[in-house]
Amino acid sequence: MRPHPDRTGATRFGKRGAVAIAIASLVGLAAFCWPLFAHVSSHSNQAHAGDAPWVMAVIIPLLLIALLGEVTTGGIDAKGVALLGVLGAIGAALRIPSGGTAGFEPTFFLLFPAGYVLGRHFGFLLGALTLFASALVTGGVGPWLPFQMMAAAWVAYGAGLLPRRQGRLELVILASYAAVACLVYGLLVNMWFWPYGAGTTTSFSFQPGAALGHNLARFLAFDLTTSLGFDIPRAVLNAVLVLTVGRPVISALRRASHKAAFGAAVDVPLPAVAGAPVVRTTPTTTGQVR
Amino acid sequence: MVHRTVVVLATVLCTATFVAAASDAAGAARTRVGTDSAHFAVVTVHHARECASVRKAGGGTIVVPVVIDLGGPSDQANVTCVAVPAGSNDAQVLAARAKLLGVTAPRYAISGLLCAIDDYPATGCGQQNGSHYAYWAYFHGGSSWTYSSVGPASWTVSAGDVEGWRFEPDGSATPADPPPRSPSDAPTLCPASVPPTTTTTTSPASVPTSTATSTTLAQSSSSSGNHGATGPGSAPAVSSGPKPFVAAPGSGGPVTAKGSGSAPGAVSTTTTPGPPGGAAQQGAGSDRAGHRTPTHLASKRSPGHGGFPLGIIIAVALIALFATGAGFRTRRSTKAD
Amino acid sequence: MAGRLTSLRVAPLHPVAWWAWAILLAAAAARITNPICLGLILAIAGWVVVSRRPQSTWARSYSTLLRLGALVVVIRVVIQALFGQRIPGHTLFTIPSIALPSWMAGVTVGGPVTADALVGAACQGLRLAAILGCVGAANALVSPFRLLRCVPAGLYEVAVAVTVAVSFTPQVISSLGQVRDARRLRGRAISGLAGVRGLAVPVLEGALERSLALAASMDSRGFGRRAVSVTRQRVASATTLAGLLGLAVGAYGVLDSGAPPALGLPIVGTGALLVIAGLITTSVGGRTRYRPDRWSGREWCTVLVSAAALAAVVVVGRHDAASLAMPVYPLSFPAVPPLAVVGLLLAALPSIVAPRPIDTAVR
Repeated sequence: MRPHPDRTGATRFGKRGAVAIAIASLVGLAAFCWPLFAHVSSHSNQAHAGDAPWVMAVIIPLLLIALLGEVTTGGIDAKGVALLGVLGAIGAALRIPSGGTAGFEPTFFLLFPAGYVLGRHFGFLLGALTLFASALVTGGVGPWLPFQMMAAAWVAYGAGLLPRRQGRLELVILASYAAVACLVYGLLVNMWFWPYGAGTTTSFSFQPGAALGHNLARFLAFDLTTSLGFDIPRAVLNAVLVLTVGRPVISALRRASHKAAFGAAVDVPLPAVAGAPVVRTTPTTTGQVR
Repeated sequence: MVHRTVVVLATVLCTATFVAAASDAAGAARTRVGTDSAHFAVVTVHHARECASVRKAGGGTIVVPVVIDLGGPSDQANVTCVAVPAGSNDAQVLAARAKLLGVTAPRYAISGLLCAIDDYPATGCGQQNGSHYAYWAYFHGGSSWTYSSVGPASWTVSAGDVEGWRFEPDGSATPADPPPRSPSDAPTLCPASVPPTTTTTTSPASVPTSTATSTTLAQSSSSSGNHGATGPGSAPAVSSGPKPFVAAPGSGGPVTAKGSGSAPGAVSTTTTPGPPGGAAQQGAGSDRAGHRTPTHLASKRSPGHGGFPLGIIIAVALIALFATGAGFRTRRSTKAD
Repeated sequence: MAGRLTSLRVAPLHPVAWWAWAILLAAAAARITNPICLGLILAIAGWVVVSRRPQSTWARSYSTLLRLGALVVVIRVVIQALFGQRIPGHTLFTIPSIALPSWMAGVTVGGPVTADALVGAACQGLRLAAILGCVGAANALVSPFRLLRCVPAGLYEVAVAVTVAVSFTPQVISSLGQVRDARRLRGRAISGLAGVRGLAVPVLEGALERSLALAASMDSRGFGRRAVSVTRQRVASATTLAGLLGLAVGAYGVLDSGAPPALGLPIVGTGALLVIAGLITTSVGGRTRYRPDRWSGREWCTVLVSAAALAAVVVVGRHDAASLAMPVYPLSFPAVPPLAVVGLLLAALPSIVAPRPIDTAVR
């Protein structure tokens, strides 16, 4: 069974994993955007700023744990793990020189071709893993890390949803997605930072209980003032990298996925007994004992 | 080095706090407002200075009715007509009201939440008991009371706005909480607020203007003057607020409000100084719900957190101890390497 | 130093104990804006770090996160001065107002800057800095690599992927250097677009090659072969999905004002428990650990003193919430709650109770 060249299926999630990702993404989005939906009672008690921020800060790591545990148990084999690890290593290595200076973060660059070539679920795992590994390698684990992991996982998942095209058009689609995705990532992480950076006493703080449009306008003002200077260089850098280096990277990843032959059936011929069937196993069912 | 920065940060913060609190204590005490015309003149002069500075800035002044309802079963809402520069937010309106009445300025929490108006409640800020909160609910008037979705510092007042505050001892922090017990439209509460331009009575030369305003008020409200005089127990007693004052300026000149004490309606829980002054509020203040008179303690801050107690010294000493100990250990370990 | 050799045999504290200590202390800091208490938390965290951190490169992360905390304070104060809501207080100076375009309605730039606003913003920034300090302390005291070793078996594949990623990073960097030198020797471009193209492809190809070799060696050593029954897997994934649903419903309950209070936190808690139960179900059986870290009385002590600090802060918050806050509008001196101070001082105990670090570079 030769895998389709463009749908390599480096992981096998099945319906269970897809459902898990869907639920977790909805909850994760609510956990990110809680300032837009917070109600007034979260403002009333001064001793702690209401339940919502801390509940959401706890929910996101739980979501990540649940997702990662659910989709990797039996869904990914040694080749997938090794490929994940190595691509994560490259992403982490890309983060070291930049250190986040003025948004020149080429870390995200590899997520786009990898999600595009190796599938959206692999991209999801790679996004989360790259951010985690780069945090370990560069600075340390901070309270923003689960949110960054979730946002990067979504960004790479989206790369796997892009339509497959040939030639120049492929690169253009991927590069424009890269620019948009970097801006969205910046928006999401800034949404996390918004209550802490602006508090409740500035003119672009979130107003618990106010209308959605009102809060959204204030958030956009906050985003414009504080973080767009980081997001736009990052988007431009990643788009340019995809346009220039994207072609050889995509080809290299396709070659590797061919060689890895994800999803190839394994024939294990048993010792010759007359009439005995040939045992056929696929990587996902390895090791399962009924 | 790291721990040195910790120590420096702590020292800087403590010094800043100390300097700010000390200068606050040494700052201007609020002037008390009495019932006689001499003090009333002081209030007028205060107001005149304020308005003069506003005129210099070039902005217009608007009169905003501020309704404060203490929320108790026997409390009644009181109205103050406050003149503020156009474009002020409600926090500035409340501060102007406090300055006008000579009471404590409103107290806020660090999150921007309003804790206390006129030092009520004396302690606590939006305390939660179970699923209910004891907090000051903010409403906007107009044709009816609307629960505000923004805080006082985010709302810019404009002509015709009515600011309403009601203390909810057992509130749910949702729009279902009850609004202040008073009419919500500006013309009823502060007739002078309707034509905003006539209230810029800043210099003595423009005193005739204020009289003119007052007389028009008298004319417009003479028909409903009886309503105000029916007695202190009337539920919409707040609407009778301006009338007693209005009755007085038939004599011309600045509204002396000497007769305010005599009008029975004024004694009942209404404090509406209006543009021409707020002398009678002192008498009214003592009747406000009958259980506290914070206006007389205008110059005192809320007790309990002032001063420079021993606890702070001990705590700062502990912090310095840990920081220097950590510094020494770092130096010793780097030397040992 | 010779007398210290006897302590070399004592195992370091369990990583989860240090992280639990740090997270509980950060949770206590999140409820306080009183600068005295926050300064105490920072000082205590610093003291414990300096007493018990191992000699490794990870120890630098504490100063990095402290510096980040100072930056957060500065950012908060500057944003408050420029864009803050103008509540009347002790005016220090006035910033001239700038007219903004109408679509940025509601945002005001400039106005009177009050001491109350600045001190309030500094204290809120200090709260964040204290949280960052606690997290930085956890990073310095136990490197996240040691934490990876404690990951439950349900997340085994993920942990292996992370370990591979972190171990491969130096190899990637060194191969980058080698390819760069080779290109320079051949007289090819090493910078600019052509240079990036020329560098990226060989490094990527080499890395992918190595990944396949690694996969082959992992497979031959029996990676991924686990005797986990299908029933157990089905139960575990059903539990995890139910937990995710619980988290979804609970998050909705917390956010929606009209929802009954029973719909919020309790359901989030139930969902969290279900997720953890699902993780435990996949973890049990089939995998052993090499030299597991032990959990003994010292670990309990470390976690419990931090829990006591958090409990003290919560109790003070219920009875006298104003003492945990910085009084602004009007500005005055903060109160010092004795119970909270004593509770926080307890959290400094691990500097004595935890074993001294071994004086070699440990990862």
